[in-house]
Amino acid sequence: MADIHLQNIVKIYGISKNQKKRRGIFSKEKELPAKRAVDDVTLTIPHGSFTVLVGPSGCGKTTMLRMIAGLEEITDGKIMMADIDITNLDPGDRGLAMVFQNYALYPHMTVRENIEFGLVNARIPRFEIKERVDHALDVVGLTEYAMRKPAKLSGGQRQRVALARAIAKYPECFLMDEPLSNLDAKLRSEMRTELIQLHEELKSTFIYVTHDQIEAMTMGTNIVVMNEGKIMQQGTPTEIHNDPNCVFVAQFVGDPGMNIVPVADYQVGFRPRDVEFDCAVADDDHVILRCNVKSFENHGSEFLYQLDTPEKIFVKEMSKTQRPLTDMLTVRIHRKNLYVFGRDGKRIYVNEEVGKAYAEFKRHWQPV
Amino acid sequence: MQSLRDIGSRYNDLQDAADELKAALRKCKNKEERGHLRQKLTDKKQELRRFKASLAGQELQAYKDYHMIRREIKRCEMLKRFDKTGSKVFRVINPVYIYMFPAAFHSVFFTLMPFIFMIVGAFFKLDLVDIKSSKFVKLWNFYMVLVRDDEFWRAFGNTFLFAVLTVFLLMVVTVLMSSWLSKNTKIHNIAQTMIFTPHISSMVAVGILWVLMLDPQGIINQILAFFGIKGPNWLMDSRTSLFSVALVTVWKSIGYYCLIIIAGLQSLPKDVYEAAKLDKAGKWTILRKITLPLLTPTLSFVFIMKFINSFKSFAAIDVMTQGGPQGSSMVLGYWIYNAGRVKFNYGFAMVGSIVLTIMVAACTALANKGFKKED
Repeated sequence: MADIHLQNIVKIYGISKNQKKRRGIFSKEKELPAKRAVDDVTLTIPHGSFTVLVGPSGCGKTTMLRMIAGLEEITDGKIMMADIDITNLDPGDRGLAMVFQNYALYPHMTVRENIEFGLVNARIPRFEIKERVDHALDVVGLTEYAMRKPAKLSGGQRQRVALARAIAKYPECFLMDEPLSNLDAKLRSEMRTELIQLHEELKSTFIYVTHDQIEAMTMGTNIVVMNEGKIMQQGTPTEIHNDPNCVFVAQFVGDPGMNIVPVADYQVGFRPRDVEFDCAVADDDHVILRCNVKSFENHGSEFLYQLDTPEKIFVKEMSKTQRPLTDMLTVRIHRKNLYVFGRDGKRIYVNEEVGKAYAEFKRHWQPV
Repeated sequence: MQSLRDIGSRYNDLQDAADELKAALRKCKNKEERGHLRQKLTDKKQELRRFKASLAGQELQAYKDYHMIRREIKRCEMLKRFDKTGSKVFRVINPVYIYMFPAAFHSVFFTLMPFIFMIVGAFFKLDLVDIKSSKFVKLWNFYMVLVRDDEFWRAFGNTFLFAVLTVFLLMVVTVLMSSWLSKNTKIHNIAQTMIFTPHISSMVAVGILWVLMLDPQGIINQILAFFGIKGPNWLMDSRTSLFSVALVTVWKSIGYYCLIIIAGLQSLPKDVYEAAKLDKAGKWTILRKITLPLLTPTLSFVFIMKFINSFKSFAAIDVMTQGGPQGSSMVLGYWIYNAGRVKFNYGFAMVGSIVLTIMVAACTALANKGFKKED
């Protein structure tokens, strides 16, 4: 099976002399500081997985994808596909297909020619090309649009053509660079389910880049959370959501992210959903918070309240009626729903320390 | 010691009084009273100056600040008044006419009137020195030029040949050149500049330079002789003269057209090229199947314009061949000049001009139609 291994991948921008920047006529040339877009990343992408690279913009996820595709030079490191070193192969020889954010269809060719182009260049016999194109068009449901030019298609249809172009190549691996970000919200969720189905049908590896954590959580089977060129955590959606290993992942995943409260030498976090309302009975396993409400958001079937505290704390209630903003809010958090992080943002698993942090948190926040 | 706010109010009072006096002075017609008011105004100004002189340090700074604020307010008021008058004026006169005037003036007096004069003049045997002795000759000019003059038809054919030659040569050279030059490194930038230089220099200078170079004993024939080739007598041979002139015109305009095509190349979407790379397309395939088709709108526009423009070529012919041996490089533009300014047959020249105008108009109309279809 063709797992993809990235070994100590590094990408540094701004070391070549051509990239000197000059602003204005009289200002001196100054060299851009070298920036590590991808910083020593080692990663294994298992065959057949739906891997989602997710992170805030500028975290290096697209750069990494483009390096796998061969569109970006690799400063240091190695990319292996099964046991073949593909680091220095041409993009066309890697057996990959890519779907771009703004489709990148050839505007002067019809849909059929768009899909054929790569196959013709790969010197595939004509009867097979016809078969593959028909199959790909069938998969995306665009058979009757085969003779149209991309300019005459809607955004969703163009994205499907780009998908078909990838499918027809029968690639080892699909690379997708935010393919849904140019579509409107409804179409996006439709395409999301279609992509999941496609993945199940084709059973090949998908590598999907997005900054939208909802997309990542719903589609991926293997999620890689990145920040500042480094991998923060890799795992299934459930692992990422329920067992974050650092503050960044905890705050990045979820809508809104985890509430983080600094307490003594620790940072304690809990999810907005994991609270009970109107429960003032104190015991050893619960912490009780009493606060004023600063603002609220109406999500239809649930309400999101922001508490009036120096840290941003949100709580979510599954209810159709809104509480009056003047009332104090009493919420109870169970001990098992608390996550404890160190000062450096790393998760703490040691039981004693967790207990200490819990006690501190209770002492600071529970009203006497 | 006054508080800073007091300084402000005193300053403003004094200034207000001064401004009132100024307004009164502007309205006043009576001479005696004017003198009186002027005296008062100078007094107020004196007082203000004395007040300023009495301040120091922080107070002076406050005074200056108040002064600046007042000036700023005045400026804004003035601008508001300006806007108001502007909108008032433009409500009456549509500004379009004002903007249009220079261009309209130019086209009426330098294009439209000569055009009409040309059409009328074509029916006369014109004498520009003594215009009253011109004779109305009906269609005699047309008859002489279109039926009796072989050289005219030759020039007519040559014009087309010249245009086709230039455009063809230019297209091949510029497309290759610009696909090489479109990168943005130092060498490419220097090469771009060098290629662009001939476009800035005048056609006459370029022509003289090339006359020297294309001389039978000139540098080009010397180089050819070095390789054992006997070069033709470029400009003096009726077989090569038109081609030589076309070559020079092309050489001069390579830079300009390269620049346009490079701009076109750089505006092509980048991700399409990346997609092509992933589609295993080689360099040649990319140029043939991606770049050229995507560039077609730019290319066709540029070269149709060049085609039409090269109907009007004159300077190169005038400097290099003067219509060439036995009229072999005679084009319409030069024929018109020859008929009018050399042989003083203005009637003939006007007929030639009419033919040229019709040619250009027809080609432009065709081109416009073609471009409209593409949209």
